[in-house]
Amino acid sequence: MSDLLQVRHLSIEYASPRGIVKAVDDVTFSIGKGEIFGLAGESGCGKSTTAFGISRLLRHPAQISGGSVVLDGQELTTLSNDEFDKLRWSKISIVLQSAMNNLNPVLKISNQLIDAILAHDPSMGKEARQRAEQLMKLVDLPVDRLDSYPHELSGGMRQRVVIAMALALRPSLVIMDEPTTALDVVVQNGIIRKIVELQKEFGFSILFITHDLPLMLEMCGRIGIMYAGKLVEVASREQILQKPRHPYTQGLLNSFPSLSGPKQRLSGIPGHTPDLIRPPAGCRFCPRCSQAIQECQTLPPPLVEDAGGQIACHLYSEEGIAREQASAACERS
Amino acid sequence: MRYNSVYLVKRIGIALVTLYVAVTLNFLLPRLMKGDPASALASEKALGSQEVANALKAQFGLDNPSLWYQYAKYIKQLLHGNLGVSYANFPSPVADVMLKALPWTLGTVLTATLLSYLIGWLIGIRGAWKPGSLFDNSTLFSSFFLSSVPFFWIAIIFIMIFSFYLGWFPLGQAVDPAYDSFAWFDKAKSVLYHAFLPVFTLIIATLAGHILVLRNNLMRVLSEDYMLLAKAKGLRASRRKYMYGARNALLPSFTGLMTSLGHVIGGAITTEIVFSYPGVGMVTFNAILNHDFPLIQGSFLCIAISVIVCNLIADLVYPLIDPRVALN
Repeated sequence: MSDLLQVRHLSIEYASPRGIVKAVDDVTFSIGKGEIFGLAGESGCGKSTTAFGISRLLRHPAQISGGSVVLDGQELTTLSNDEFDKLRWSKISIVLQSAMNNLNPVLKISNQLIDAILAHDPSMGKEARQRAEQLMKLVDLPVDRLDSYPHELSGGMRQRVVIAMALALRPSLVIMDEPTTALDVVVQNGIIRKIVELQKEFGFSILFITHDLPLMLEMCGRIGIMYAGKLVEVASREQILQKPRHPYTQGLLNSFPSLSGPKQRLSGIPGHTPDLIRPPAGCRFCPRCSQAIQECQTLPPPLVEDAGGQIACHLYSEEGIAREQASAACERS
Repeated sequence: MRYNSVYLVKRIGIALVTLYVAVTLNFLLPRLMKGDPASALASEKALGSQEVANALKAQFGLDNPSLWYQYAKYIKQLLHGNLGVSYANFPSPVADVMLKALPWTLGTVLTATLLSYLIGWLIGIRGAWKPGSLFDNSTLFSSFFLSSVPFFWIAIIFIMIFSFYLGWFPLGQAVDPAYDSFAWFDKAKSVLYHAFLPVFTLIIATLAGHILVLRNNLMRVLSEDYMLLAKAKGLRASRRKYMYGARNALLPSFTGLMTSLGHVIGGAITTEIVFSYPGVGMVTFNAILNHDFPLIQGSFLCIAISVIVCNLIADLVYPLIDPRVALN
């Protein structure tokens, strides 16, 4: 599987009155063609900021302070705004969280679908309307809903419209930032199925962002876990399900109840996320980590690639493994 | 059409009821005042003639102490368009006095109101689009300054600078003293020359509020998700700015515009006084000073009707510009 998107050492920061906030710090991952890649983590960990950085939607004062983003062999961070605008929607489209505010309340659905099409291909003219009708059918909405205003649709229908809109120009990458968070679970289920079905049909890649880890484990092939602006682990779904390695990943998984397994008290993760203006000197998760060793306090663990994926944790570096074995041996004797 | 007949009938019905209440209050207010202002409506002393006073008293039912009788007479005269006779301008009927002042007020206050909103909106849009820019900061600072300065003070300062020291504009009045002898072209020139400074003052004095309100609204709209999505869609900046941003930010300001238009007919009392401009505001002010009850009543009635009509228009236009309203 060749890579569609490569994010290398991406850093995003913004100035605040107290100092510079490193919202995203040295994040590296890639998404294959036709892959659904998940980015998970709790609120404020930088997952949405990463997505906005890739799609150049960061709001002032946030800005990319380093790293590169390569889409289909093209470096994006050095493009001029005009060049980037041509690429928007035709190569990268986005589905945002809030079903209520995703659509302009004073424009008909048809206008909002058509203006995206015409912005990139003004010669479409009348055909744009037909294209919009096809898109509505694609997401199982009646064609006559094109002439509705957003407030006349339910939250689920609106989110379907947004998904149809995202596919209008057959982009190679669709960024979905919590696309179903504002919806109830039944509607959510229908939308997720639709997304997976459309993805299979058209073969676009998805960068799927959510804090709903069980949902992510259901649909994503590979998953990246972010914590306090850092990518701490990237692994396949199977790996995360069976043998999560980073203590934070383990903590996240322990925070969700299991439907089928034995009833047990959820542990959660004690403590709270660190201050991103003055993050901990070593591993950012160290103050909350139950398995921390000495290096964790002073040395930020690098993201290392190995057989199981990518991991940034001293426990899995060679010294860490040695130390663990030593302490295990110590306990035995 | 986005609204149905029920909406239409309801709105017009509300407007008619409001109008009736306003007319009734206008009848009651002078009669509730201390002293006997009601009989002063046809005061012999003011009218200077016993016969005229008696005729007027009969016409308006003042010869009968019953309030109901007077009320019926008042409504009847109103329906005939008879607002009584102005004392101060005897023997001109109130309607004539009002109609003479109206063009001056409409010409200046209406022009100023429309321009002030238009300019204020454009500045507000430009400022909110690039917050923190030099343009935004300077208009914001000026707006805060202007909105905290009293209205009449600006007028006086402008007259001092532009009329008194620089001599660019007349000190007051609506036309040149020799106006009647002018050819039509010089007449037009004289009117514009005299109207410029009052209009300019009105615009400057009201501009700040419109800038601040629209800038605020647009800043709020710009943080909505649909603005982010519009950008992600690669839409042109102008479409995002006007069809997505300003279009939504203008909705709350539209109500403000219609309310202001409703008050146009009342004139701009302070400005008209400072510029000795013969508009409705000046007429009303003088009527109050002169205890010219019929004229006060007439003026209040005009203001009430125009506010009600403008509100009705706002109610009828709003569903056309905001699709969410018709259903409510």
